[in-house]
Amino acid sequence: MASFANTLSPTPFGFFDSDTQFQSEADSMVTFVKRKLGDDILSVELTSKQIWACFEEAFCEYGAIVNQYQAKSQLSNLIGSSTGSLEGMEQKYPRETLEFALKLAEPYGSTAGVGGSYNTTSGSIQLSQGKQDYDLYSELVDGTGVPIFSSSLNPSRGKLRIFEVMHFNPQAAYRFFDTTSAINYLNNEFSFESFTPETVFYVLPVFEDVLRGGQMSMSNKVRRSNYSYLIVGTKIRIYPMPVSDIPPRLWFRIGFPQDPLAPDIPDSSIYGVSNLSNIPFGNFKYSQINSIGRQWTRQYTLALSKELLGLVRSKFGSIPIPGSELQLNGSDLVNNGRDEKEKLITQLKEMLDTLTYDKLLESQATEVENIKKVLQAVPIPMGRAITIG
Amino acid sequence: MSRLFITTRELDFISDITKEVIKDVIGQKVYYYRVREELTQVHDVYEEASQKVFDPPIEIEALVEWTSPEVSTGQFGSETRGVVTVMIHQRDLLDKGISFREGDYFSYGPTFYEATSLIPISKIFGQVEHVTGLKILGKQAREGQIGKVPIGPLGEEFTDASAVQDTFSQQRGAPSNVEGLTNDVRALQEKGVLDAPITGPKRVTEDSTGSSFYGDE
Repeated sequence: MASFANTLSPTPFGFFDSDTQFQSEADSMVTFVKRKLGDDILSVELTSKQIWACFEEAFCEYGAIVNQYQAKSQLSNLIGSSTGSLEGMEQKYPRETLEFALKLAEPYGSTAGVGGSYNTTSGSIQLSQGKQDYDLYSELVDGTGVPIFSSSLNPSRGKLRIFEVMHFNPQAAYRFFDTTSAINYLNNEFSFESFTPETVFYVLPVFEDVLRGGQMSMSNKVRRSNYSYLIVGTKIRIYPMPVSDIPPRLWFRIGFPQDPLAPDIPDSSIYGVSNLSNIPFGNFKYSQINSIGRQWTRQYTLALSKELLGLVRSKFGSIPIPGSELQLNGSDLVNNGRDEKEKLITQLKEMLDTLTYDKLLESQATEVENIKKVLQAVPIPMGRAITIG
Repeated sequence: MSRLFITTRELDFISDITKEVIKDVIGQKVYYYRVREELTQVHDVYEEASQKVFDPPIEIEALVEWTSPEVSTGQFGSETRGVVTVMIHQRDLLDKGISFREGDYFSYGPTFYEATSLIPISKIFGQVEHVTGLKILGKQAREGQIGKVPIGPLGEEFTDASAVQDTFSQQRGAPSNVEGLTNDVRALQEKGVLDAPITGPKRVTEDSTGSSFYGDE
């Protein structure tokens, strides 16, 4: 019998052909499978290459299942990382990160005007005396006077998002020291109130300032016009109606529809790992698999071989021999092999179900609880503490 | 079944399975005695030969349907006439270069039979050139028709050393086993499709310590 190493293309895919431990095991696998199927006594109509193909498939199956469970444990940490050549992250224990959670939280921050990956811009509407209603989509302009909706800032001509309308009640502070002095307002605006001759200094308790401020704010709210606005469709209505001869500009902070694949902040993670299909989990290396995995692989190889032998033997319902017909055990072998495969996969998955990282955490928590229960039963010596460890 | 699905490889598979059943599992055999016509003198009047010349016997594995012989009693005493049906694998005959003919003799146990008819059993899946085997009807030969001492397992009532077969050896495509040359050919092995068995042909002996069948060697 030609050895694995001396055979040209011994396996269909050749994933592990160069692994010396796989080579060595492959030769033993032929004996193992054939002996288990009774070749010592009666022929097992399987070629070495068929058994090696089963061996390769079994080890691929093992790797795929373990990788699936590793993905369950680690996808949130690996998501967004480089896919590379779709291998290299298998059998690794990466650090935990919050990148996934932070990315999920980003749009909420962005909508609230805090953080995010999308820029906002500002624009303004020139208010007119006696005019309350303005069209945001035509009158809201950028610094060059171009309507923002149709500017290059909004190439998709998407709906404008009005994050902020800078239309506020006048600050009560300008009346704080002298309710009749307009100069105090200007002083506040330009930060030089301490140097004007009108400045008056009081030595008062803080609560007096607080109460006075509240009183003035309430006075503004009750006795003066309140500043507010209403946005409906493309229109904004502002309150109160501008009455100044030279009304100011009304400023806005605006955002645009967010393209998830083209944020304003460059983000290469968009093209990184996105789901199970492109996590860089390659095939395992046989030489790095422990005895648990190897034994599973051997058993699965045997089950696959059994199924394959069954398929070979069940090509015919019966075989004509001189004077009779011979029934082969093909269907039994197929059923038996499939049952064993299913059982092995179920066993492996059940085991891995208990070994995902969140399950490990649960079991560790249970262990801690159980330890506490056990320690509760340990009598505490009078006046002494128990030392553990 | 169509030739699309039954190719040489399938026919080899069927042949090898058949040989395995007949030679490695069942183990029945007959001894074939070919009549040498050119060396046998035929009586001019009766056109029969009282003393036939035979080739040395050849052991052939076969499936044998043995039926109890009929005993008839006449004015000259009783006469036992047995018939036997022997099925022989066609490819095995070809491998061994044997061409069985009507009129040839064979022994099964202590009895010699004359082959009275040779019938091809069946075409394998309807393919005209592939025959499963030969069905040979044998009629018990009268004493004197063949003056040979029977060989092989004869019966427990005999005292010959080989009267009871206490050893059975598989062949499994090996050129020889413990009993000598086998002339056994397994097509899939010969063509390199399948490897030889991981261990050689097994043997069952009367003494279990000598048996290799259960891996006792």
